[in-house]
Amino acid sequence: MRKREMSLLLLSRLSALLVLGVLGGLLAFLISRGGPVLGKELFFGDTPPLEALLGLRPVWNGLWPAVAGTLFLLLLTMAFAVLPGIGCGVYLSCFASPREKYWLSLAVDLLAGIPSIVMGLFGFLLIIFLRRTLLPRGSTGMLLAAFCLALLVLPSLIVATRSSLEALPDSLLLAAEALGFSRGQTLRHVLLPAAGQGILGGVMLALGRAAEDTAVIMLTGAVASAGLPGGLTSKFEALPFAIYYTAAQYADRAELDRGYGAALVLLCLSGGLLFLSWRLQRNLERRWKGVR
Amino acid sequence: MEFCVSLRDLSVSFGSRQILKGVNVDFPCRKVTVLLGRSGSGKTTLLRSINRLNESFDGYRGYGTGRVFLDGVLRPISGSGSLPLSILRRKVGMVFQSPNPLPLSIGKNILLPLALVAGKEGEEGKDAMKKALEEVGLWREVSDRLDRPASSLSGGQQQRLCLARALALTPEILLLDEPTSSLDRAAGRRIEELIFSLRERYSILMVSHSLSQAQRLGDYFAILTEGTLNGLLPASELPHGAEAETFIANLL
Repeated sequence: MRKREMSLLLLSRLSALLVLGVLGGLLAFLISRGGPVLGKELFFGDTPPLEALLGLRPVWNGLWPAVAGTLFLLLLTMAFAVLPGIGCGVYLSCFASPREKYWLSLAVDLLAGIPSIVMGLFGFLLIIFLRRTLLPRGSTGMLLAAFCLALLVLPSLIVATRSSLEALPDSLLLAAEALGFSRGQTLRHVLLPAAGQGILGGVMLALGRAAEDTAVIMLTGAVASAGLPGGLTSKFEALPFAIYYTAAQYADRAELDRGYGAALVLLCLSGGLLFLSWRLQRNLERRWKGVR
Repeated sequence: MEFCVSLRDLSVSFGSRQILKGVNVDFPCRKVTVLLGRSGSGKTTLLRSINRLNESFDGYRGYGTGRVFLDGVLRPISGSGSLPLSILRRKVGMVFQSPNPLPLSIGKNILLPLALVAGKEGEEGKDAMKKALEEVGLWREVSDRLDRPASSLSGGQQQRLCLARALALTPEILLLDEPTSSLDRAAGRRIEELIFSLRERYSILMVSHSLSQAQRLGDYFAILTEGTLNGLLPASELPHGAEAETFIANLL
């Protein structure tokens, strides 16, 4: 018995170390290859940075358009996904009948199981269908890509919202109801804020997934060279696509290193977004709790 | 006798389990009525049928009629002519067995219900909060740390906070579900003193697990046996001292 306990402890400790090791190794590798090329030139090429940032002059051989494209894409994706994601999670945990719960969670699981390339194909077929019917001039672009990405990340938002609401103690609901809060007030002022941390976890997962996905966007509007995103229906550049493209088409080591640089930039970008959403959630929570 | 709550043929079941079986009782106004009974006899369910909290549980079914005397009018607890649920629950305050402050600051625990349920915000809300905290003797202890989490208070203080939260909404009836059973002796005594001081202004229905506490506080006793209620017993009819214990034990 004692021996089995020891080996279990050892195994779990090794697994924990493995996670740290893999993450550390990955970061070290990316930084060693991509770190040296980080700089003005990686982002803006030969274009003066200020003029590039203001969109006065196009950037031809830098990452800036891809960074802007990814940021814009993420913003649009979350605008599509956050409300229905949280709303569906709330419905599942608070209002659905057992039967509805069964079918709806099955649907969510199925949606979660759809590979992103299939989601990309769906978007591609959708725009072809729309061109033949309602929108003869429609084309792939930012809007379509964001819509398909939103579908892709919807399940993680739903599941996170539902499970963090269901993890709240019943006494919380009872306390609020006994005070005379309506169902909506209980949800809005007690349950959702109390589940905020868990919902944020879902948002982070969704952001990360949307930031890295290449399969969806390459079928729905991402291209290798488009300049800064021009509008909702225009083609765009994106970091994961730039990385993929570089990895597939690089001509020399310098170009490959720029690909690593792009990977590092993508990592920092999603890290930065996660940090921002964490800060936002913490501030909201403090305001809700009334705690200084 | 004026009564604040009148229940007729009240039966409550959850799923296939019947908890209350045809309860008939009138609870007196501005007195402390203590509900006694073995565990599982339906004391908590009886309390919760007065503020309709049973409806929050799965499989609830209720029969019979209940009426409450609020704002000088006798109204049904539910159905046509009844008060809206949020007003009923505001007028019938409840304190639970274990303290259940919301996961907010001390101040917001009272300010949030005041704003949402009573519509009292800003200075008006703060005044009402201060009054309620003074009523439970908590103001001096917490006035300088209203922005600290309620969970930083001791168990007894948390329970007094919960009582203040109910009182801030200006109820007429208080439902207390074993309010001292999770507290240590001293904190429990403190709550008892509070209940004693409130008894002339509110109609108090209280579940108690302790016979001596019931004797200290109760004006009337209601004894529940397996979901039925055998009428109300005034404190004056209770024998004194140790005899009371055997007397009630026989009724249970």
